[in-house]
Amino acid sequence: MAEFKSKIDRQALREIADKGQAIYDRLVKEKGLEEKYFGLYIVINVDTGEYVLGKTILEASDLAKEKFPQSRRFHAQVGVPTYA
Amino acid sequence: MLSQLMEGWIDEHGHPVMPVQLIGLEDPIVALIDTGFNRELIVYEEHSQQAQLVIESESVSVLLADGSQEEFLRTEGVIEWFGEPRRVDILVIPGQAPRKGRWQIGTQLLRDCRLEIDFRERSVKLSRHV
Repeated sequence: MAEFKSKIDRQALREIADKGQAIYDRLVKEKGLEEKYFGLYIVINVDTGEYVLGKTILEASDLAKEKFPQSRRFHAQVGVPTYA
Repeated sequence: MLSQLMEGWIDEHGHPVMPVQLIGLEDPIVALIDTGFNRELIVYEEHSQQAQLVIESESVSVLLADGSQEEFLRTEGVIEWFGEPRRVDILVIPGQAPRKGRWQIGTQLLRDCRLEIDFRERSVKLSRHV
């Protein structure tokens, strides 16, 4: 059996999450994101600050791929942490 | 109205579980039904590679039960769900699947379903009306 080799760059994932969270926090503070869009799903392009909102995870994901394909993206639900 | 049913069981650790067939893998993988997880599905990277899921630079921050925070890679795949293909949101745990590692089914995947867990009878039933 071939040896398994991880292709996930954890440092890169953390960088995307850190940048995405900083943009999210700014949107909450400056645009009242959580008051206006609580419960919707948000996808943020962490390099440009652009974002899309959708009623479902997949709707938001599709909009993001359309609006900013080949980008580094941060996913979250507005006002609701992701628990596991 | 038609009622559809999927069945699982209570495993040896007392957890409700259900087999999930990810398109691209030969066999179904047993997944823990985790009502504390609020997205759709968590799989191991080893399986995501085998299923040849498309990996892009997408990240989700997840709060774990011990209070720590971890970043997961996010992708999409297709599973068999009530006998039909369904596109799902997938979070990927980096690395090889542990021998007794379970995938996790979250509440977003269950949102249009009724979940019945009978610990005494060790049965798990997931149903929906279509």
